[in-house]
Order: sequence, then C-alpha cells, then structure tokens
Amino acid sequence: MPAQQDSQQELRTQLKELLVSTLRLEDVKPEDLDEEAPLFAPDNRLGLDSLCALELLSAIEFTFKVRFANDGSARQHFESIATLAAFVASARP
Amino acid sequence: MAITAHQALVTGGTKGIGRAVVRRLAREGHAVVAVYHSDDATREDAAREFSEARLQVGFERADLSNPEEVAGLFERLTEMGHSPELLVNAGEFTGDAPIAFLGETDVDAVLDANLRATFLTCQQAVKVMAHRRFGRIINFTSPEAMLAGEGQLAHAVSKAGVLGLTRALAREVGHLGITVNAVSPGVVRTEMTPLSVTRLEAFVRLTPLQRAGTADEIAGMVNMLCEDGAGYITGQCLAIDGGLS
Repeated sequence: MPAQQDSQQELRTQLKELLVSTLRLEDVKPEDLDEEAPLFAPDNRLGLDSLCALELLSAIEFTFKVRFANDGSARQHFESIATLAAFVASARP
Repeated sequence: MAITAHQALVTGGTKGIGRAVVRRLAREGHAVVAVYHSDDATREDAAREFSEARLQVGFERADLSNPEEVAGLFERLTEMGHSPELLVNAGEFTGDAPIAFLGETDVDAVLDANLRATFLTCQQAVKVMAHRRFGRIINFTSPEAMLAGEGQLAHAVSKAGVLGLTRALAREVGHLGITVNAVSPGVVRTEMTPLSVTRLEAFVRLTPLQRAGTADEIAGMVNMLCEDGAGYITGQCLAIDGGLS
C-alpha cells in the first residue's frame, strides 16, 4: 500500500514540523527528530516535559480537526511521533 | 480599567450568582454563553430578562458532570464559532446533611456537580485557551472549603477540591497565558441560597460587615478578574465574604 505509506510519512513530517514550531524548539530541525523515540521520557533529548503536552495536544486538535478523548487515553497517543501520526490518521474526518 | 471583549462561558448561568455574572459580563461587552443543567423554565426567565435588557446571551443545556456532554458542549460551541477565552464555573449544588444521614449517592451528587464538573469544563477550555495563548478561568469555591461548617461535609469537600484544582491548574497552564483563580462568596442571598433564614442570619452575625452580600458584588469581582489589568493574578482565591473568613 504505497499510497497509505506516503500519507503516513507525510503526516509524521507535518507532526514533526508542528511540534518544533508549537514548542518553539530553537536549534532543532524537524527532519532530525526520531519518529519512534519517546516524546516525554525523562531523558528525552528535546527536553520536553509533560507541561508541553497541553500545548501540543491543542495544536494537533486545531490543525488536524481531531479530538483526543478526555478519558486519559491521550497519554498513549503521545508516546512518539509515530503513535501520534497513527492516532491522527485514524481520527481525522 | 480597560476591557477587551472576549467570548465567555458561564456555568450555572441562569440562576443566582451565575446569572448575575452573565448579566455583568454581557454588559461589559463580552459574548456570553450561559450553561444550565435542566431547568428550562428558569432558562426562559433568564432569556426574557437579558432580551429586555438588550443583552446578547446564548444558552446551552448540559450535564457538566458527564464527560461526553461536556465534550459535546465544546463541539457545539466550536461549530457556532464560540471559543471561550473566559470560563466562569459558577454552577453549584448543595445537598448536604449531617454525616449520620448522608448517603454516598448524596456525596457523589455534590462532588459531581461542584468538583467533577469544574474539572471537566476546565479540561476542555484549556485546550481552546492554549491555542489562543490567552484565557481566564474563575472557579467558585466557598468559605466552607476552609471553615468547614457542620452539616456541610460534602459541600466543604467539593469546594476544598475546587480550591486545590484551581491552584494546581494555575501552575500548569500559566506559561500559556492562562490565569486560573477562585472566588469565594460568603453569605449571599439569592433564590439559590440553601440556608434557612435562621442559619443565614447566624452567618451574617459572624460576618464583620454584618450583612449578606449581593450577587452583583460577586459578579463585580469576577468581572475584575476578567479585565485586562488582572493578567498578573493567578492561583489565588479571592474572598468576597464581608470578612467572614
């Protein structure tokens, strides 16, 4: 399914760009982000902490017109860029 | 003080202090949506009053202790182009009794209406506010949160919870330009006042100003917290109680 793979990769690229711009990560290039790396692990190289999550969640909801459930399940979607892309792909209208 | 017009959401906005808050914010030029639980007759009465005063106020019905209904409410607001930058959680429920007569369902009902609803509306609203990098949240607590009068167990617990929620959330979202404060009204005589006249008078005697407050006085403080000049106040609980606490 090459078309689906292209779409998934495009989504990951958009999410990396959104993450860098939303969290104003100076000196970080979107293309350098590891798509599988844990986003909020204590030793993550981006220095993100959980307080960044709301800002990023809000940006994703408004950009992609998706809604995270408010039952705590958002945490699992924020594991990595890859899991975020999978969620957005499944939740997009 | 300067006022920038914002979009506002006021829970419990058809009765008592909540209704006074809606009236005041609308008069200041904010676009207000009032949320109410289920009393359509009171909603009609409020709509008539605001219409006669030429105040533009929208109404939404929702059970704010239900996560799906809260999510649905914010979906509807988004669809109508109303993205609340001001959230006033003035919804209130009291159903207390001495502990010997207090059932767990009574406690759940008070906690759901006062604490759970405040949490759920805040959770949805901060997403909108984070996107705009601006927001003002004002939660209603009570002197009972600290004074904890007898026979008010569930209410005291719920309002202490609102206080904790307010302070914790203020720390969490301050960097996004969102302030979160609480107001704590003392004895205020409205149709919602749950106290008997005797108990109300007893509270008034304990109040240094020796009178009950008015809903308009509480609404005035809420409005002040929404003004441009209040942008450096967050995580605070402002008592409007005549010195009771």
